[in-house]
Amino acid sequence: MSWFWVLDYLVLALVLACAVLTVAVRNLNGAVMALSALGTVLTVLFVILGAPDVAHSEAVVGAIALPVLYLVAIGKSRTDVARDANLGEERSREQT
Amino acid sequence: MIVANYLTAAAVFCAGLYTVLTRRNLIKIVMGLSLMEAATYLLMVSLAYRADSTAPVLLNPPRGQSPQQLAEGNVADPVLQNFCLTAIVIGVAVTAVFLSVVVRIAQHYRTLDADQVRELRG
Amino acid sequence: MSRPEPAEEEPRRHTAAGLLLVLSFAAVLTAALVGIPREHAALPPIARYALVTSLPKWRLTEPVNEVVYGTRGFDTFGETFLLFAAVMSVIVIARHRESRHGYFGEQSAGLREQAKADPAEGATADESAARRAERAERAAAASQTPDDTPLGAPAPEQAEAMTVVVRTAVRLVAPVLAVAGCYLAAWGYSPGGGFPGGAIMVGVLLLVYAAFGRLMIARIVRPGLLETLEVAGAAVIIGTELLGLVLRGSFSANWLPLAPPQTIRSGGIIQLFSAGEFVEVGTGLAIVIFSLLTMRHDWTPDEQPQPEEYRG
Repeated sequence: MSWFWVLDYLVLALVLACAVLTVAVRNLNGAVMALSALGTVLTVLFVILGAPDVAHSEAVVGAIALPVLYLVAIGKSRTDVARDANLGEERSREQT
Repeated sequence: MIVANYLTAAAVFCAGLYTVLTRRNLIKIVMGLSLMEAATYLLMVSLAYRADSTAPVLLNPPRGQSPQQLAEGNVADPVLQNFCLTAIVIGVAVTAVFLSVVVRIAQHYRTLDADQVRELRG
Repeated sequence: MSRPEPAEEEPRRHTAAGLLLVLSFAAVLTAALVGIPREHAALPPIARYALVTSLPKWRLTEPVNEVVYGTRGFDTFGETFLLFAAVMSVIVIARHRESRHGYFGEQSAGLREQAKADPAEGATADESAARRAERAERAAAASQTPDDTPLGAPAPEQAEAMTVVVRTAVRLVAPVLAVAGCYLAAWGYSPGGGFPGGAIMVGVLLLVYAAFGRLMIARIVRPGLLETLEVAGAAVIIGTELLGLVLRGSFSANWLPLAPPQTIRSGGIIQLFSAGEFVEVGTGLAIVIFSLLTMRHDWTPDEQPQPEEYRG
């Protein structure tokens, strides 16, 4: 079943891309979106690998639970960390 | 081969570990932990896969097999998938606690920079 | 004119050491992962046992559910109560200082408490008239939805609900999603269990909250109601497991009569456990998200420490 392995490698490449994106993106909201994309791509991979239960849970967590928690945390901490627009993700000009 | 799944899981785990080790923003560190958890889910489900197997669902099995034949036949491993289900639930629970602690730190120290927060005064 | 990309890279520390450690760990991990059994390995005996006994012993055509809630029910029991402990710790971390603590309506509750504590000596006639006029004016300005504010009105955006397009869409989609969530948890013989069902219900709750504003969900999302529902879900789970011990001698044994395979009651206590977890996960995640949302900085910050002072 070579079509299976082609599909598998394709989705694995997507998983790696999302992981690198989560690490590399400096904007915090962008990184949360990359993490959510990673969850969704993992769901597709679980369906391919024959794990429907795990696909249900991962889809729900990757799409609903994790992004909402992260975005709420970023929003809450943004009100208190006054100085940096991006919560210190990028060292702003006057600090260097 | 399935080794590609294992190596991708290792790569995602190392990406998460790298984020935790080198980033200074607390929320980014929690994201690194989420990456490491996602890697373990990937590893567990890849371990549960068997060659040319179908999902362990005995509901009208494919190719006209009876449920008993499917139960005996080539099917993915349900017990490992249960481990992955448990890991996903625990991952959500732990991330929620991490994030509420991070928001409290941000409120108290007015910064999310791990270096400035590390000087924990008495 | 796009924002100039800041030249400085992201604030990070000792990248060289971190990279070295991670790469060496990666080498060890790869060496280990290459050696573990590949996809042609035989199924372990416990997995074969779970598959074989799924139909005769539990009359369930979904072995993963049977493993999660039946044979290894104690493991899921521990996991569910770990989620319960996480919700409790988030409640403790996000606690307010006053004893009265609701998710919404804090200000009005505070005003009511203030009025009860020291009742004002009554306003003179013209003062109450002025206050009524001001309240009427503010009510006119505060618009319920963006459709009411005229086009190009100056910020800030005071609308609590979204535009009519989003509201109609959510009015159509939310019931469908709610039924899908309940379906996932209800039918034990198809994939999906209590956890995805509960999380979908939280998703529907957030969808309605985003589209219609807090008044629509203020009745449901109250700490009193959510916390009792969650503890009730936990009690159902404890009950099903302990009854197994009492009636059948072992902790998560099946004490319910087994219905024919593809019906809603097939699988004995698996359905009950899944329903209990459905309630507990749904309310638990809602509690976590809303207590995180309403976490308030209600203590006086100590004197502002100057960052330079740390370096000294």
